[in-house]
Amino acid sequence: MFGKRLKMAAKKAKRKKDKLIESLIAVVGEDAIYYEHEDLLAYECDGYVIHKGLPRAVVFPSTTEEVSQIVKILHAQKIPFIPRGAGTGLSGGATPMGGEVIISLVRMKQLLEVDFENRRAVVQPGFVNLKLTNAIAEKGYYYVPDPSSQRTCTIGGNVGENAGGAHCLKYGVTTNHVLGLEVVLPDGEIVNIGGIPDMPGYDLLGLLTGSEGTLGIVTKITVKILKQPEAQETVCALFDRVEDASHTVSDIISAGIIPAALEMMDKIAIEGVEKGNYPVGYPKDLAAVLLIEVDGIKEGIPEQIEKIIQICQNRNVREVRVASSEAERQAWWNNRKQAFGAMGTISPDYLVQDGVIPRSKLPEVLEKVAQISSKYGLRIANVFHAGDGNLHPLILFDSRVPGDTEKAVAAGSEILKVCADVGGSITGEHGVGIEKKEEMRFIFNDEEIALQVSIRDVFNPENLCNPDKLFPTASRCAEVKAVKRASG
Amino acid sequence: MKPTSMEQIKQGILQILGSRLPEGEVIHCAGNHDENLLGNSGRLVVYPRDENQIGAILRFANEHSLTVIPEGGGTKRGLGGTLEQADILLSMQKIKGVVEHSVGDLIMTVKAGTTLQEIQSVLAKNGQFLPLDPPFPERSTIGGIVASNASGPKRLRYGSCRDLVVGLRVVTADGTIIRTGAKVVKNVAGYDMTKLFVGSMGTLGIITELHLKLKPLPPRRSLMLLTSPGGTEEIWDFSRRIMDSGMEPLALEVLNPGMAERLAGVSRYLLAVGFEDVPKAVDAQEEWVRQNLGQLRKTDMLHDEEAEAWWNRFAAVGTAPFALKVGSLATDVIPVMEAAEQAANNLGLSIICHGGTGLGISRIYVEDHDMRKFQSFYQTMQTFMAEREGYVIIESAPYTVRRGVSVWGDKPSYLRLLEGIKQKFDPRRVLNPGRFVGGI
Ligand SMILES: Cc1cc2nc3c(=O)[nH]c(=O)nc-3n(C[C@H](O)[C@H](O)[C@H](O)COP(=O)(O)OP(=O)(O)OC[C@H]3O[C@@H](n4cnc5c(N)ncnc54)[C@H](O)[C@@H]3O)c2cc1C
Repeated sequence: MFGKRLKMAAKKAKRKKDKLIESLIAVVGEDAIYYEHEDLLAYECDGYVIHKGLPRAVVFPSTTEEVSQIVKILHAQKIPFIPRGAGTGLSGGATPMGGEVIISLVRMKQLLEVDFENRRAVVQPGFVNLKLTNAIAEKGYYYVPDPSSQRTCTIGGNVGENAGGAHCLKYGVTTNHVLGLEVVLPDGEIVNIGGIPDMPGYDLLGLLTGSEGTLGIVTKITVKILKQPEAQETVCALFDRVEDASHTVSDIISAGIIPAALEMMDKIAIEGVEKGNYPVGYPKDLAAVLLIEVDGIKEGIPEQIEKIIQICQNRNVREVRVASSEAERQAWWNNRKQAFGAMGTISPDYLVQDGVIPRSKLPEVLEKVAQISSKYGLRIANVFHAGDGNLHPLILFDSRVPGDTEKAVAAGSEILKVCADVGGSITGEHGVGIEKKEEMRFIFNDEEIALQVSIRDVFNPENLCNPDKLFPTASRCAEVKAVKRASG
Repeated sequence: MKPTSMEQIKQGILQILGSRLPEGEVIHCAGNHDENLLGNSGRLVVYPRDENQIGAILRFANEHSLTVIPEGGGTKRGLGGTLEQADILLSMQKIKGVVEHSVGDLIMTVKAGTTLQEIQSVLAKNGQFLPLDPPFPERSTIGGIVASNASGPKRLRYGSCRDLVVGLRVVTADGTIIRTGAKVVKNVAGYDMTKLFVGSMGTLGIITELHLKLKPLPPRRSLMLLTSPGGTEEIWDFSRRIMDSGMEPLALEVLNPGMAERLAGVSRYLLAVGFEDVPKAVDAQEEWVRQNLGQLRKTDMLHDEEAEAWWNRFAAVGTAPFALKVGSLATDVIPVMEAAEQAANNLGLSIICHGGTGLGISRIYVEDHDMRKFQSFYQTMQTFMAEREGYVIIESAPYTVRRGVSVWGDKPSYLRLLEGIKQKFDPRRVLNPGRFVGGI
């Protein structure tokens, strides 16, 4: 015992002498850094738990200036680093490959400014998504992007992933709501981008949003805030056949209605959410549920609701109902928004996928997902933003069973191939991260990937900022690039 | 190596394109009045028919270090650039047509040389439209609109090009064809490369095909023209109140007296308020306006085709070769317009201008053709904006003026990033050299 403790003390002392740690402490102070092994374990991965890696340290800067100083130190010593928000990402974007310094933005969590007249708010990156809407709700305003993780995820992380949410169908995703960014570039320089619409120059705001922390560290964000719609109504429709629910989705869009949200859950998903923390009493034998929300001018809503109900009935709905109160509406949404977590009640593990398809291909693709499910012998729950064709197949597996994890990963990849083949994408909101690097090849050829890598090089030439994420393993692309440059 | 004579360039291009390109497709540029004034023309005009031909032309240009200006409808000749003539003007006018309209997906794929008007007429058959309202829809091509990030007042409700373009096909300067995005409305795979091309003024590549988000045609359109007997204060006050209400205005555009005179026959500051929605929602919003007019007076109210006709006249107003665009906070839009009016008065210039009080974008057209005075006017507006958040750019001016000033305003502090991006796409500066910010 005694000997072990001594050894630990010695290790601590040795650690303290690590020059890098010392220099980081000099910037942020003793209480804003982790470098002991046991402290680092919590940072081995984000919400994508299949891949793990140990960071060298985790630092918690409180100001942009501190972020810049940290980055300058790391840049000078060629030590890789990763910006991290709440770590709820689902593709491994904030997961170390091994040995990076994590720069956690959670202490930079202030709401800096709200300007109602210009309908914008300025936040620090660690500010939690839902807190913004809560802070401005009193005056009838809200921040649109509402990922299901909005109680914990940060707006910095939302910018990193270009996060979406249930209410992004009508109003757009994060990129449509970011007006300006302060960014610490991978060499430590602080730059301010945007702020006013159409700022002259290439659209760096658009490029940085969704770049998964590979182009720099966002330290301040100016976002649009919107006035709450005057009225909203939510319809819940229960179906006996998935095809009927899928066709209802396309019929609604084709009828010229753009709902604020249009969400779907299938049988297995319903089984999960009903066992979760917010059950609403969906019948056990249902095949699918649609949540359809319409918002806008009060007088315009009833006829849209009538039309939607009519469409559901034409598609053999079992039961269709308008929320009778705000409480009922909230209950439906809480039930839906906890869907991922609720899978834990019906399966030891689950893998969230995130494909996108043209909405008209929904019936065809769901059929293929079912085939993949039986091929691998894994249950797949489907929860998705049906209105914008963004599927979240939840692949249920048991990591204790040898080979099950690999099967889940393979099934997920196969689903993404199906999405790519119908003209869709491999990710609608969760990002590529570590998880989908190889799947990038489903939708981009080598030249297209090489061009993206070359854009990364403009910002992050030494690949120090969140290295080796997003793009398939370099070799082939690098070769193509070299050949291209040589001949061109 | 640069072939010196135009004849050599022409022969070179004909040779690459071989029999696929009839002689008549390459036209010597005689240079008409507009071209002489605005520049951005070409010693040779080429009309490729597909993206492979564009690729071949760009490869040739790249090899021989020629300069190429891609052009759609030519409505933005006055925007940026110091060249009177490039070696080649690459016209997109023969690359047109709707490739696919997926009605149930509210998505279309269209070739870049298609005019906005052509697009709208195809979509209307299926009750949909592309919610963009830039100037000159009958001449502007969708490629040009997106490359120059053109927009109009309705972006308040519908967003601008960056919100509507979901994917592209592009030929880069070395002739490579690349794709960005996909035919879906949500997509975060890799970098959002699409955004780089929006507003890039053809300096990174030539857009040949676009995937666009559509909207259902609104069953009812309405436009209310409100004037203020008092002054601009009431217009701002009304704008603020409507933005703070649950109403959903399509546009909130202030017109200066000069422009109001032309479009509404009243020589006062005027606010154009539009609504597009189902009839009951439009009626309710019109009623809200009537209840909340305050000191404002309703001078006209138009519906459906009439409202559209008014917006079309609005879109055709900016014919002056001298124009500025100002980006500011919404709260600064009316101050910008008043400062412009003041500056114009001091210089003895007459202007028409409009600005979106919900948007923060204003446009000023100087009607006199006096280069010196225009430059002073630009400087005055720059000084005015220097104390505020935002920018002033010259959206149109003769190329001789553009040579003498920085039309894009001050260089951004992060210019090296913009230059770095250009360098990756077009290291030999073939495409539109000097057309963009910081001389890119
Ligand atoms: C239960 C659950 C439900 C979810 N639902 C949704 C949903 O509906 N929609 C959706 O889009 N996502 C959803 N997600 C995924 C995740 O919450 C989002 O991707 C979110 O945006 C991540 O935010 P974060 O603060 O946790 O970022 P992190 O996971 O910490 O980081 C995400 C990425 O952004 C980078 N990053 C973080 N901060 C910064 C910064 N300041 N500057 C630059 N880069 C940075 C990181 O390096 C990483 O690549 C869900 C996740 C969970 C666990």
